[in-house]
Amino acid sequence: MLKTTMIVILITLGIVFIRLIRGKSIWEKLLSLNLIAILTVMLIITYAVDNQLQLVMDIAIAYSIIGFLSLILLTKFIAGGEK
Amino acid sequence: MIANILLVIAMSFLIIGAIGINRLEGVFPKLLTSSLIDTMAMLTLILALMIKAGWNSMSIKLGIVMLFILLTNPVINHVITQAAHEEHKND
Repeated sequence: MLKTTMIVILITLGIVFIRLIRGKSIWEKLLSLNLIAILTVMLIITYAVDNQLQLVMDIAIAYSIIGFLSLILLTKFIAGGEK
Repeated sequence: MIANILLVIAMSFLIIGAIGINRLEGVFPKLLTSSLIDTMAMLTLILALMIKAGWNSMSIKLGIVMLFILLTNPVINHVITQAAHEEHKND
């Protein structure tokens, strides 16, 4: 069951990645980037529970923190000015 | 049993969100479906994994991941939506 979930997450990741490349405005691309970060965290934790790996879970926590920081800074930079 | 039902719910939300982000046009309709994946699929998936992993330290780490994503995800969506709204207002 967990392997099926991982395959579905991978298919969703591919569709969102196509949408990231073909997006019309910059905000749609940022939205797709946010979704890619969340889906990667979901893929990592599913793999960690499937194989009973304790250390991989720490990578998921670090990845979620890095995704949050990079998206906030990128959005503030593109929006411009000191807001 | 409960974990498998929750996994099926998470997979259906993932598929609905993927179809929605492909079909809808514009920033604000896409935000509607991306939040579907962000909150609902993530919550049900982590609850199912917590039930499947049992009562050990892995379950606590899953709870930390869930708490962090629930705290930070509305902030990201709010910042992106506010910037897009400011740009639409100026045009």
